[in-house]
Amino acid sequence: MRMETRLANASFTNVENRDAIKTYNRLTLTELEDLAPGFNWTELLLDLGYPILK
Amino acid sequence: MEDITVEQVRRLVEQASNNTSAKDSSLDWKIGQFYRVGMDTDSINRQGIEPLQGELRLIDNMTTAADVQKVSAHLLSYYIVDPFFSFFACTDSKNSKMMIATLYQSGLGLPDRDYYLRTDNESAKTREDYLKFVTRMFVLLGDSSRTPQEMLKRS
Repeated sequence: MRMETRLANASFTNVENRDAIKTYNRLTLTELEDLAPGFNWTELLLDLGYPILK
Repeated sequence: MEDITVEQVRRLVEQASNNTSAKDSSLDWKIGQFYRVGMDTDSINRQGIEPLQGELRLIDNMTTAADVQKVSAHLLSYYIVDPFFSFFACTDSKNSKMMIATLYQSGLGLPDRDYYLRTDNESAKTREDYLKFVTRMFVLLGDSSRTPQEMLKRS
């Protein structure tokens, strides 16, 4: 419950979710890695069988 | 409209599953297999949680953040289960000719953030019921009823 509440805290509201501008944040893989360095995005793509396009 | 669509899909799926001459791996064969597996509630009930054991073990054996990532990727790719976020291909809303990789928030068992953050009595009751539900799921998955309850107290 604590984990989900933290996720909830970080989540957009339903209204924000309908905001096409707010939810459009196109990034390159490198930009994503800089934005969220705690997660190994390259490895995720490899695990899912996708090509790595930096 | 939805009624008509559902009815049409049912007819297509039943036709496929009745098509005994469908070649292995053909579309009809795949649809038929999938449908029959889902409809075979006797086998489903007999097998219980057995088919899930491998995945449950993967989850049990996680110790590091890297393990959590590995297992999430596995759940995402095999079952489209998205414990922390969703990841899928979607049309680029600024360029409809392009399909792009899309990340989207996810991971909540209740419908949206408000269910976790609202402080009124009704929402608090919903969260209590949710905890009971999760406890029941753990018990159905083989935990003793004490274990999940103690765990939930700590969570």
